[in-house]
Amino acid sequence: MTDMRRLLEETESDAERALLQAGRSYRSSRETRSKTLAALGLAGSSAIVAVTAASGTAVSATASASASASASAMTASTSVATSVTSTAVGSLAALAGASGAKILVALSLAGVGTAVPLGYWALHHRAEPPALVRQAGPSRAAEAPPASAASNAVVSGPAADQGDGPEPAPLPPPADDRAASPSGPRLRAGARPVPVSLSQELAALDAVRATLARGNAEGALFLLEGYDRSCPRGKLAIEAEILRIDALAKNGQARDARRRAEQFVKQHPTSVLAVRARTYLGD
Amino acid sequence: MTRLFLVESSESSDPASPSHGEGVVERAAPVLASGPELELDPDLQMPDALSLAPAANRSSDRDGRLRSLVDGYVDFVARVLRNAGTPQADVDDDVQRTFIIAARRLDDVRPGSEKSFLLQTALNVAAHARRTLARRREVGVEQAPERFDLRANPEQLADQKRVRELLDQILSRMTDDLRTVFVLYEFEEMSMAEIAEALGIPAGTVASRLRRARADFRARVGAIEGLSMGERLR
Repeated sequence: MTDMRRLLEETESDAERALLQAGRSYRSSRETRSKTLAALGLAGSSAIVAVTAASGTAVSATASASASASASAMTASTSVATSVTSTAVGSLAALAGASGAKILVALSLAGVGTAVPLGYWALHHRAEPPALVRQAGPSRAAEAPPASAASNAVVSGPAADQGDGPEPAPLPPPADDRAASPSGPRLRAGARPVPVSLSQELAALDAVRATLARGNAEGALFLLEGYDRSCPRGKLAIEAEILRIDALAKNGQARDARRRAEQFVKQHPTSVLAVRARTYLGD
Repeated sequence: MTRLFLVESSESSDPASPSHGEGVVERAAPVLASGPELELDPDLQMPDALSLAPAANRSSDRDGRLRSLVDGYVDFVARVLRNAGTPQADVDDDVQRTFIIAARRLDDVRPGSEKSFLLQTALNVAAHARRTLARRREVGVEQAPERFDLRANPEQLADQKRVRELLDQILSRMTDDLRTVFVLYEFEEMSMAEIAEALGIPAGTVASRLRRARADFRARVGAIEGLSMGERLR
């Protein structure tokens, strides 16, 4: 069978040519690829350095969280998660309008645990998150190095071998957060949110997912607090919320999980992720 | 023959029409080792990853294969979805859906047939999305078709966004059968044999659909260029 010439090659119409070129030249964005990999649970190695950076963010952000929380670790964990609600909901609402910024979360079919990003490894070998909370009272947290030091420490871990990763991405300094209200993760009024790249967000949630997959729900919640602090208007807030619901449920906080799931479904009744939230509604 | 396809009525090309929507599905067969039907109910498309823990080696093989699928075909899938009628705002979601389905069926996809499988999956996802969109529109306010007049405003051709809208409008009025072949041949530059295989239809059918699709496309472009059909078809 001989194929005809393509219309673009033979047309003499400017309009046809422009239209055909438009059809041919459509490209997915970098975000599309990143989000797809994340949806498949494969985001890890594509952004190892970014992962590391993001994990560093989580460490420093959460360290500063514990610095500012005078209550016990467990209480802090709960109250922080609760007080984030308004921020998270705000982000969810914003996201609902902003199309294309979603990831179908935690869909790895290949076992999340096998794709544990190196950044997570670095983080994990530095300190098990909940352990950090327990041991790091205000005194230890007060010693928490500033962002640059924290990130250097982490980057000099295994990811240093990676050489030329994409954008080593300067980390959002936690200093603002530390100066923020002592009761939780809310940004101080007027505090400027530090821009966090999508790949950093992806990496942070990847670490959450990996932690959860290891059965460490408490650690996952801890990392999610870090995510909330670093990304108060995160593009992936919806995904983070679903992970949080998962983590709460797995951490024995069924009522919290259910409450958040109800809210999620109410806010995003048509979201593909609502399906996941609904699984926490029935008994 | 071409003149027969100067389709003015939109009812025959209603993208929500089940007959068009199903058409793709029922023909999309040859790649899978097991049944071709892809269940598109989103409720059933949400695997709970956290409860799955396959053996590590197998996982890393799968990971590698999946990753190379994404790397190799994410643009292809996005473009197919977009040109098959997925609104820009939904492309990311539907790309993910397509690959998630691919991931679930990975063991059924024969090596070498990945592109074809992704194509079928993407077409199914797009058809599903079109039906959903059509249902949404039924309850919403009917959007007035926008009028393009390139003769009065030829500068629109320099506006990429405008051109894309125009293309969307034209493609949305083609029947799904014609549109699919047109998109695959003219945009994806697939051969007729590849298209025939991927869609599970005879090569002759591909050729005749392509001719009709081209005539349809040119007539619609001619209409917005402000040319009469006589001028257009000379």
